[in-house]
Amino acid sequence: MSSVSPLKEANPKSLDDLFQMDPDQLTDDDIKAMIEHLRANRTFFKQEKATRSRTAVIPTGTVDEMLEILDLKGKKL
Amino acid sequence: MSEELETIYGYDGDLQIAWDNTSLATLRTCPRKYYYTNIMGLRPAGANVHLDFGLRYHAALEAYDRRRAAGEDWNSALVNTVDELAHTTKDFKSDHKVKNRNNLLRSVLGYLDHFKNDPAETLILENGQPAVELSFRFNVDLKAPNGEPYMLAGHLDRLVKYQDRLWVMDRKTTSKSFAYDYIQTFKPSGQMCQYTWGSKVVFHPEVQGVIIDACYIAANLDEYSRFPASYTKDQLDEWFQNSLFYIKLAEQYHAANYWPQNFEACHVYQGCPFRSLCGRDPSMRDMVIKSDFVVDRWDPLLTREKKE
Repeated sequence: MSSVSPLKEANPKSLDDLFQMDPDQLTDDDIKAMIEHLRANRTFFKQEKATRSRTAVIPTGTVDEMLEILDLKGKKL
Repeated sequence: MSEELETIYGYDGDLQIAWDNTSLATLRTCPRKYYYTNIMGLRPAGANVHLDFGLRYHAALEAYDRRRAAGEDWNSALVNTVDELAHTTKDFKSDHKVKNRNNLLRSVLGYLDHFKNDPAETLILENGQPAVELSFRFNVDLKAPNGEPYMLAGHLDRLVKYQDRLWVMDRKTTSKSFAYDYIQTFKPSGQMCQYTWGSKVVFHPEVQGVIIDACYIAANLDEYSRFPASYTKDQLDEWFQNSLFYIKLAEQYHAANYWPQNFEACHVYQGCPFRSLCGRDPSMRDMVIKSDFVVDRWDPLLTREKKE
């Protein structure tokens, strides 16, 4: 999973950096940064999921209309 | 049978004496699968990333429970648990897109955040230890041919007090989303009936059932759900009679030295791990076993700590 959290200013290491580090080299600060990155990611993906569900298109109508909404018109199903 | 296999405690030679739900479920699914798994002790060569992920997830949360029971506050126990997990997963090599080290850290942290103000309290046993990772076993009124009583056995994640009642708590990780169907898979459930029965017999008769804390592991975002699985006395009695019946059936398969295949179970879920074996001509199977399987016999009486 890539880091999507904007924590670079607070901690120079991204989540990917932290995940790729030798675990024996992780400091207490690294662990705290990892936790904050993971929480920020969770918030991001929760918001993204909520947005997606609010804007989801529910196709209704004739078969032709539904295929058009789903961008499947003319395509071999 | 090799000498190594004879040191397995839950068996008398190649007859199983101590039965946990994993063994019973395998026998119910397919007697041949049971024979390969429990009697021959085979498992596919190579790492089982799902099992490894699940064991590490459980171990991390067990460590957290112990910290909390010892008096650490939530934040300190959380940070220490993630810290320990980050270090102890150094050897967890997985290319699986979901069940990997990064997502393991994410899932454990997610669980601890989700249940930050958990009303479920770990019970403290009379010996002062928290009731986590408990193993139980008890004799049943059914004797093996050697005169020993058969046993039922199992391992519990945790015993808790929740809303003034006693429950077993079981943590699950799943790749299935939390649809109605997922919860229905526990109604009924041999595993949860065995946990309920075992905890009532060995720990406390007032145990109500099992609270399941399930974590749905997805690519980017985990979800958590808590729901109870409880059964009436008659349901539990029915499960018990079923179990004795299957134990006796295993004795008959053993006496006949024949473990029939259940072809209907070959392709269920992700498929039986022994499909590649049963799919070959019987004359080829010894060779396939040598090349594709290793011996790692399951012992229901071995506690998780001992296995590690």
